[in-house]
Amino acid sequence: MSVPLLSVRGLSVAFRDRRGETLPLREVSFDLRAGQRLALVGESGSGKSLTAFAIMRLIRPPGRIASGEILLEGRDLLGLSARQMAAVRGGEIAMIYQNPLSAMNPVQTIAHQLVEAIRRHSAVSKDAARRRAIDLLGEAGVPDAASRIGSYPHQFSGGMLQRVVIAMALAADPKLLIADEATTALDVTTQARIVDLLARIVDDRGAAIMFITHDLGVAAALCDDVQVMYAGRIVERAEARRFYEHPIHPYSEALLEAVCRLDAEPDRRLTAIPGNPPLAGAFPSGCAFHPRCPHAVPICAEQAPPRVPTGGPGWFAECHLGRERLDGLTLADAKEPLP
Amino acid sequence: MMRFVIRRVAVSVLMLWLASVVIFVTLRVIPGDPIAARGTLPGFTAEQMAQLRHELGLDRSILAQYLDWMSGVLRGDFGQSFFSDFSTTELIATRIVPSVELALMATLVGLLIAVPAAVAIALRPHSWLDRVLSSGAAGGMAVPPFWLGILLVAFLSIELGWFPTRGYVPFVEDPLENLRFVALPAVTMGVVVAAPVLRFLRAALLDVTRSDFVRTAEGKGLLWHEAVVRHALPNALMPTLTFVGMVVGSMLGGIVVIEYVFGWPGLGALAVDSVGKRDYAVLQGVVLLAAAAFVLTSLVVDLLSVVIDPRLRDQMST
Repeated sequence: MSVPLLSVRGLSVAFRDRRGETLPLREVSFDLRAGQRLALVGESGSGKSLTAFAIMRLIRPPGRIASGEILLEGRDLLGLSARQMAAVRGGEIAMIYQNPLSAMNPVQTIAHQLVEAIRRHSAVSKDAARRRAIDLLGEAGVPDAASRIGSYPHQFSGGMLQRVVIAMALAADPKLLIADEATTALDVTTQARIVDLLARIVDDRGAAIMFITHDLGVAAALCDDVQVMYAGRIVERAEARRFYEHPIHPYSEALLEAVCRLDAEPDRRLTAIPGNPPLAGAFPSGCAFHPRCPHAVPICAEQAPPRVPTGGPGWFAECHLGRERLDGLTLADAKEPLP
Repeated sequence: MMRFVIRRVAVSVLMLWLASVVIFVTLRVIPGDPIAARGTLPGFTAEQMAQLRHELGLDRSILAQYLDWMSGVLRGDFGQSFFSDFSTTELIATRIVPSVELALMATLVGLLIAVPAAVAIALRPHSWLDRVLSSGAAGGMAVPPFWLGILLVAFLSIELGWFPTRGYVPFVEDPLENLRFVALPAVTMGVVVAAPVLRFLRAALLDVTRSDFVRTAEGKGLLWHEAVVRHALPNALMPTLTFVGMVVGSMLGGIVVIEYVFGWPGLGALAVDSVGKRDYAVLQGVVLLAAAAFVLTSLVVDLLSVVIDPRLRDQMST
């Protein structure tokens, strides 16, 4: 198999505070192929956004990347100089942010901010960059882009401004887009439109996308693979359809049961996951999910769970019971094969 | 926008009028008057002094005196000095240019110190450089300006002979000499301006550099110092502008002392002379002008903020 577009190996992020150092991201490893669409889901504080900002090397003090490798087409980003890394940011990897209004500079025009992004990565004249910016805005679905490009961020609605942020991310035709809760701050109809837009853009451009969300529905609509984070670790990764139908990790299962679906049986109960997600610095021993896990056995509190392969490329679940749960699934499949 | 400007100007005028009343009344309430300030002159009897007061109109009611003065002021006539052959208007006219020059140069020096220092701190917050510069700012606020002025004179003028100790040459006569003369008082006042502005801008910058949009700037490929200078600084400068306006406005108090130390023929020196002599007309004129300078500074700052900040601009137009 060829080198993956992005390969994260043993990535840990540490934060230092008065009480010492905590590790909100612990030994995270995963791959992303060129053009692949990966959803990163989990509760708040599970380390999704931290993973994104660590890949961009935009973790602010007192946080720091404590260990690991971030290989972009085989090249370790953590070994790059500040200048080389700046060329990667916005060039090969671009990010779309959660809150478009705070992500844009309030005192500069949209044109100024887009032209800056374009000219940073290609030597074109200001006029050419401005024309390209208008094209990008058009591609991102901003109507009347040529006349609105001179506006300031506060003169746009949230959804329209998110399109501007997307256009800015496309400035240098990146190979990887990281969308950090890109639809969370928007209302539901706008969310759907932005998801459609992102799907079309990555299709047209053949770019890969890492889509961070806590909304499993949005993840399902957009992504090939789903990756679940809990307490600073990736606990399961699988192809989306398989994940939704047969989650292996008890946490994935619990997450899916907590989702309200229109096509569910009418009398199905929505189940909340008992307890609260743990805070960094107070992660439980062994498997961090064991205090909330309905299937927990004594070993779960004592040993970190193994990474159990679950049948597909890069698929796995980190669970002591993973083997049995997978076998149970295969047995069920044997009795009652899926169509 | 137009309505905002009109309202803001109207408020300024009202503030000036209030200032004029306070100045006028205060001067007359504090003990002593121009006649008493001369002491009992040999050969002057109490009757003759009363006669003199009558001639100068000092025995009329405060209201009558005020209306008399105000009607003059509105015509640009600030009244006659009791001690000089020149009118207040003429006295102020000769003194205003050096004072304004000193104030502008001091502001310039202050900003040239404060802005680069604050940016340097923001690039590496909590570094040793931050500690040095922040302590320097605290020191700059604690040091009395006259002492700093004397120190500069002692070293740079007397020891090294780089600058004249005191005096003034008009810019139109000899621009270079003028700059040599203005250098030390401007640096002294500049430090007085720089210290609080540095502290304010440092805090504003450290706050803004944590904003999402500065991270976005880095995210699109800008280096940290570019993100700070191009994106954080303009946003941090906006609140700082208002603060600078206040500092410069209140600088007019400190400038009195500096003008004395450096023998600078400005309004401050004129004011001090007039206080001692209770030269009402001159003192009223100078203090009113200081008030006008303060009001004007804040007016300019407010209008400038609206011009710079697109959000304020939009708020104004709706």
